[in-house]
Amino acid sequence: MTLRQWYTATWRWTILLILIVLTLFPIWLMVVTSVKDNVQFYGDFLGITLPFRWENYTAAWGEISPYFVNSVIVTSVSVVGVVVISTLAAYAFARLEFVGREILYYMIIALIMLPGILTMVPQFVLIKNFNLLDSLWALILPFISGGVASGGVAFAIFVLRSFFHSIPDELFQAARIDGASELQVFWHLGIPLIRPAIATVAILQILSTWNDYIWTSATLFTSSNYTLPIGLVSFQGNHTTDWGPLMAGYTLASLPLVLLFALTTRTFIEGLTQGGLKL
Amino acid sequence: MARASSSHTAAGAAALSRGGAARRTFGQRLLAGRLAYLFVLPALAVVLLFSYYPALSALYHGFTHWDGTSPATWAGLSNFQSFVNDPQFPTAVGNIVQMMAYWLVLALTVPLVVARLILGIRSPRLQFICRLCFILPFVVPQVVTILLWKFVYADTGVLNELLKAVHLANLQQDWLGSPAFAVHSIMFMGGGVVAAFPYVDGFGLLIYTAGLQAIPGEVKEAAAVDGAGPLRTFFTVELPQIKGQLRLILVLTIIYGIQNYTQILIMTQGGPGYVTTVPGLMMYQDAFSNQDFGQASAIGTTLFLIILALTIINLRVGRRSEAT
Repeated sequence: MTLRQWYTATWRWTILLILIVLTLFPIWLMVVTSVKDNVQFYGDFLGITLPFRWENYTAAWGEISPYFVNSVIVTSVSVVGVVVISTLAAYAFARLEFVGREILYYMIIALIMLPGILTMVPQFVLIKNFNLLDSLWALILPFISGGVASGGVAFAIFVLRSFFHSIPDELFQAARIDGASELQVFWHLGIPLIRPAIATVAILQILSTWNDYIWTSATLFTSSNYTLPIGLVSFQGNHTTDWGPLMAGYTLASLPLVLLFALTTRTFIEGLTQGGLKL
Repeated sequence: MARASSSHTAAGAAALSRGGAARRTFGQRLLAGRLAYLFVLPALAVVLLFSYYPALSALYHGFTHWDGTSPATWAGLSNFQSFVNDPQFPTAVGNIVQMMAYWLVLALTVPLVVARLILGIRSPRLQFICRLCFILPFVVPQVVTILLWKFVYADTGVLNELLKAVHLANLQQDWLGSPAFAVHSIMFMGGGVVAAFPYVDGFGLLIYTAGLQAIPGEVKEAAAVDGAGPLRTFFTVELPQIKGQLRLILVLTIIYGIQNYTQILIMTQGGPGYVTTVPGLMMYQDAFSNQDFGQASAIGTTLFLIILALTIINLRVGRRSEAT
């Protein structure tokens, strides 16, 4: 290694390490504070202190578990909804021939450009007229459609259709000649081949649904119906200075996303670094 | 199943004799596509009911007095006028312009520089680990990030404790409660539109990495042979090649940034007074505090048109710069 290379490497790592430390600092702070009581916190708020106060987690879970369950319900129903609805439509748009295919496709895809801020108010009135306000359906239906939070079927159909499109036509012809019905072709050939794309769509939908605050805060009023984002804010309001239980609650709320990323990081990083996404 | 296999024969026949399909009557073609329509129907129903109808409704109701319960009455441009004449309006516009300018510069530079630095690392394994560190904040729910920053800015929070620890207690502030600091506190944290401080957005990082990796090695070698140093190569060779990625991040940040006020809603509700308000938050409060859905629709329509115009300008300018 020449002196110049050594010099470059030193600078590179100094900058990167500083940025990594600053980026991860909030996560560190959240996790170490979650096992402290206030005496330990004000004594040393940066480091690890013993003994660990695991009771913070019991206290936090007791309060946030209903929000947690609601979030899991809303997220799983809307993810399944988006995946099922958009896989069917994307397959039809990519592989089936029918009158009006192009028009219907562009009609749906145009919605990617439709900002949620335009649709939010009438969506609220619509949900109100359906008598669904203050219920989990008030979140699930608009989340499937997209807009209020990002995600939704329009973007999913766009991604999935391009994947279905990239499968060589011969594969489908061969299956049909072998006597497979159109439904069998879809289920046994189409779906398995685009599984990575379905995973990507599902991840994005989970992230936007798990995180949505604005729409949720407008449509849910009863605390037993709260999902995590809004539940955590009210939890914070009740514990303004109980840092330990508060941070334990935040850590618990992060766990499903930790699990999701542990399972999919490689796909996510490689999918995005290899794909040529640009405008 | 019988239904499916009958449509299989129809679709199969259509696929086998492409030319034959055109000769069938319109009715037959509709019938042949019935499986396809069945597949598309759920998506279409959801989108018509929950996206198209609300969008048209907003565009119409912006011109009406509407409380969401009784029938709307025509109001002409009065909602738009009262939005612009609202004493909060100049503050809201000033805030959004200031915040967006700061966040755009950050979103276009910080992740790009980090992407470049990481690509300079020899070991692919270390490259992966570095990227992983910057992606990790994704696992923290957005609201948690915002609440953590609330904790940083609190009276006895991290920032004031840090100042005390380094004997600068006289610099302690009520970071979110004082009109002089609230807007800058919200800007500094990032967190919604742009990644939280230090602003290395994982998504942007991966997009820029993809762009930089796609540049052919010969191009960079040619520059090196010509005696260009790493900085020169970056600015004259690499930067022009990733315009597409920069434009993508630019458009996404603008679209998302104009609409997103989650952190303001959680941290200050626009206060103290209305010093930290933005147009999106004004809309939210008009609709959900004042039940003035007509006024809220007018603000929504205005923001939609601004987003649309900025996106079109971006695409136009992009196309022109590629043509030359």
